[in-house]
Amino acid sequence: MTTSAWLMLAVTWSVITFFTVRFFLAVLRTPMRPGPDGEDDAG
Amino acid sequence: MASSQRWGTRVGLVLAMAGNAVGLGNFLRFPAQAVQNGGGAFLIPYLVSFLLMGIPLLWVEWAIGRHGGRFGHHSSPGMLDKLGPQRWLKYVGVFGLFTNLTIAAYYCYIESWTLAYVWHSITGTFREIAPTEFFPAYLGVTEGSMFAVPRQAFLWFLATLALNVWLLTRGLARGIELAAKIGMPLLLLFGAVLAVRGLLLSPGDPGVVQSPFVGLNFVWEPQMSGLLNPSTWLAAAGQVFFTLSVGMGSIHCYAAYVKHEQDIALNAAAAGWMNEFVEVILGGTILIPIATAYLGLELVQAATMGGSGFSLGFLTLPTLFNNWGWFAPIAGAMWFGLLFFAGITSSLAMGQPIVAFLEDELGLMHKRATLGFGAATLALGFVCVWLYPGGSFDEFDFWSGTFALVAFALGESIIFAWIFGMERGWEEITRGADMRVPEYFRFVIKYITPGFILLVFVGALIQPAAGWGEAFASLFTGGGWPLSPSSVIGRVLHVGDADYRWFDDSGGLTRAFVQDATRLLLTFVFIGIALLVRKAWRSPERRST
Repeated sequence: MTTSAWLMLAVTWSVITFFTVRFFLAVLRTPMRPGPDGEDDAG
Repeated sequence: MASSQRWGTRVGLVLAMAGNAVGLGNFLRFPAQAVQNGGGAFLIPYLVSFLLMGIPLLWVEWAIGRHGGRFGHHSSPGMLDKLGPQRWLKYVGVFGLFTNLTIAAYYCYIESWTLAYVWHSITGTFREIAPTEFFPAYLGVTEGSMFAVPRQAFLWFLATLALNVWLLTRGLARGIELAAKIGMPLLLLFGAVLAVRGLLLSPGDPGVVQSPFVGLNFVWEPQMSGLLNPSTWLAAAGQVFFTLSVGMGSIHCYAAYVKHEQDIALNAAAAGWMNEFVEVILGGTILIPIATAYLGLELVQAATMGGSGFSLGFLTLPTLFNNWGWFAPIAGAMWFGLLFFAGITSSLAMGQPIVAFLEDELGLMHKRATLGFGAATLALGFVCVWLYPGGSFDEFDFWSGTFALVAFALGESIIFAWIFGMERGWEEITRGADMRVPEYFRFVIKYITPGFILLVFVGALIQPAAGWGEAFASLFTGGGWPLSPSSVIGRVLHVGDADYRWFDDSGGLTRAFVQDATRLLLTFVFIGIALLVRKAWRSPERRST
């Protein structure tokens, strides 16, 4: 592979992996807020 | 009777949303699009489109969904109805039911191919019969008739649909969420194993003619001239659009089961980026490198002409796996298994909005609603199975899976930003957010995202036969606009079909007849859903509330 292809691959993979891991870890670490009582019946 | 279902866990919700987005296109369409549109240069417009159109649209759809869920609406007509006082808004939401139902019909059929291929990979069918012979016979295109029912394909379709209906019957947490929690990790595992195995191929191995890195290089080598080509940008925006499953009404539906004060911003970003991970990192590393190793780059380029890796995935790869000895059946089962998991997590997301509509707006019990979805999908899917040789499947794919999606996304993005209003819209997106949403997305959602979708929409309407540059040159020199037969207008007008007629010389029906009949059927389905919406909104029960 050429240097420019490796560079393109490395930058793109890094950016995508960084944001995927960052957001997914945040989802795992942040518990879902409980909704107000009776919200299930709203509407 | 509004559904009172909820997601079991937050991870389950994000995996289900990511599973909704991850589909066969991640592995078959993306690499082919990248190869055909400038390799590494395609990734720049692709990522720009993801940030300016994909992520904002995800937030918009999650926001519309959670807002509608607060009022007991888990399908798009009711959700859009709550975005403004205009009575016609709910009819824009008809698109969100129409696309899900009609796409589910043919998507379940494709999904059933992957399941059948898992079976045939394990039992060694492709060691005896080449997929290039097996597949046409499986689809019934060798029967010599446009109206022959391919029995094996129909049975696999029935089994796949039954599995979908059963999972939907189990509900959100025990059905959809469970499928995502099992399917997504397995998909990632299978994808990683195949990618590593493929990249370990070397020219000394049996059958290998080139290093797989030649293929990988082709996908990633930046060709900056592509950045100045409008076709590359349109292709990239189109790919982002279709890969995220936006414009369907399924994201809205899943988000409607999120409570009013719970986060949607982080959940949407996590699901969206996970889809990108699967598409770019796994999807870009399996099909093209393996196919290049065995076929050489020139044949791969020819096989992906038109921007689809379908023939490589279904016709070529099973044969190439035969070079892998004892691992061949496992590799085949993994490849089609990952496609199956990608498919079923998406088809479940198509079924749920229909089930929710039947429950919420027409008052059906959950089990009856899922059976209703199953019956409608079976009826429409049978048309795709039966009339596949006549082109019915392609018509479903184009009008439901391409045109209607873009039309709905354009409508909803304008309604959200300009009728619901950006003040309320922004408040809806950021309420309960577990991440800071950058303020400039207000501007992006109001102006840039609808503009991007409008470009994709107009691009699909008047797609030229040659490049855009040549088309404008032809227009300005008086040669007219060279309309592509695959553009929306080109399809309506049957451009390029010199012998357009419904009956052949012997009085038999032609392919053009099947195409037009399918379009008529789809139109009736759309009108039928609109009438159901009208009936639901006129019910005495609703009037009294």
